[in-house]
Amino acid sequence: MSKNSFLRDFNSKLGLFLLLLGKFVRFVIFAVFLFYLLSGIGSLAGYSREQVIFIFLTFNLLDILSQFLLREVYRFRPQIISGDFDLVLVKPIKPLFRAAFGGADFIDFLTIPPLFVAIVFFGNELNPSVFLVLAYIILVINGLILAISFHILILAFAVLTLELDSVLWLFRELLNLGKIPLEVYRQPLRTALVYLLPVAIMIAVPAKTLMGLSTFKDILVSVFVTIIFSLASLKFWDYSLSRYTSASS
Amino acid sequence: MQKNKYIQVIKASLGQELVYKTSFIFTRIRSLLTFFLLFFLWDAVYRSGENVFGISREQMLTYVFGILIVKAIVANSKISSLSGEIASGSLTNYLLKPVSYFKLSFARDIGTKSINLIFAFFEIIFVYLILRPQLFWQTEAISVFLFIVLLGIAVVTYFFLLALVSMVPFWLAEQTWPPVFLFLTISDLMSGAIFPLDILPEYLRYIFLLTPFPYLLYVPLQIYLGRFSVVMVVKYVAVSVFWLLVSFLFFNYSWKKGIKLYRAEGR
Repeated sequence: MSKNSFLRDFNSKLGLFLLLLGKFVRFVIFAVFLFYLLSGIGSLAGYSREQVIFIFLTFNLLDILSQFLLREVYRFRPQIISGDFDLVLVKPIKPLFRAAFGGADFIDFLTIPPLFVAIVFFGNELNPSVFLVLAYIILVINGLILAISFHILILAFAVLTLELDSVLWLFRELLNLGKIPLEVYRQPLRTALVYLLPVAIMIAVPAKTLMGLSTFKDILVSVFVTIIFSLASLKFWDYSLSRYTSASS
Repeated sequence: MQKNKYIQVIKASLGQELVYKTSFIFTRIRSLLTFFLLFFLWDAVYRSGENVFGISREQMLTYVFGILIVKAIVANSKISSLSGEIASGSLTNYLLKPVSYFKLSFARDIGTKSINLIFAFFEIIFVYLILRPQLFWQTEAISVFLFIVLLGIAVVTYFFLLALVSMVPFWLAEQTWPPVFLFLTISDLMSGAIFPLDILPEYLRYIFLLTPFPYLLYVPLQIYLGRFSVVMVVKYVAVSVFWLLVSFLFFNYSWKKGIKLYRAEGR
């Protein structure tokens, strides 16, 4: 499925180039903004320039990985509206797997290597120990699982309500709030981002762990919340499928 | 009768926005979240001092509030649907009717912008009451007048520029979304919708100001804030008019060329 998706994206080289250029420009200009801003003011909410840029890079890593793996979610609504989802249900493949991972995004895939290099470069500037690097990798995977759980919830919500795009973009906008240190936000928004909408678990906890600023309790809570969210999203997906009426087909 | 036709479109567009209530509300929430990101970011920046990059705290927070209003007025345009209509061939439906496609699109935009502006207005009151920031209120009538004039120029320039990139499928039928995506990304970043250009080094700001994008948001807001000298104001108003004319000429030329190539291939 991913191979087909890659071939489709690669078929239009100009389109591929323009989309890649757009993503590159968006990333570079915000990074340049942070660089000059922090060069001018020294620190932001107690974080140094390198730390803020590392948080921004971790946000991008989570954002790009989830978009790369879950691009098919963006194409799910027409299947529900038209009733074409019936054709998925009768096939010998897990419908959730098809709906979520049915078409990886080649354009996002191309942006992963340079981002990886930037993360290694700026991460190295923070002088982490091997243990902290390992913890960072585990927590990024943990954040990715949480992002996948959110996408499953959005898919289930789409089955029940036919509403997908606006919820998906709302989730991405919430994730966007994590591209700067959460200490910047005033209460009660900060608490909401930590506990109600776990942007902190996806971005801030991994980044702060590499900087040696997380406690063992933060890490345990992150893993626990991800497990609960994952189980809840799978249950909700099963529930939504049981309510699917195939009304449009 | 002619006027009435487009007024009916504005009314229909107003109603259409509110048909998909969930989608509209979520779009407004997203706009608020972007506002919160910028507001709290700059709020944190000014914890270390009252004057950063030569901009006072109240000017900067006013700039962030201004982004919410100016984006609702300037950046909300449905003309980007032109690219899909060219590629699918559904543009023919409009060409056969006794209407101007662009007047129709602009009328639709007025409806969309009006409803977004109304909601942005209430959102601003809501966040102002919660956050209670110190804002800068311009008392010079000429600055407010020029701000409104430049806002009007920005609305039309943005419309022509977005229409221009949406015409790409006349020549490259498959390129519907990528050129629009690139334009939206660049205009968002270079117009000053994320940060005022003052924080950039002189040479980079100069390069940005050579493009039409800062005249869509950054320049009108800076004029409202009274941060330009009279000479600079005159210069930037002239440059805004220049970009309006250039974008119109390119738009007009491309439409005339493109429509001759149009064969409703998607049908």
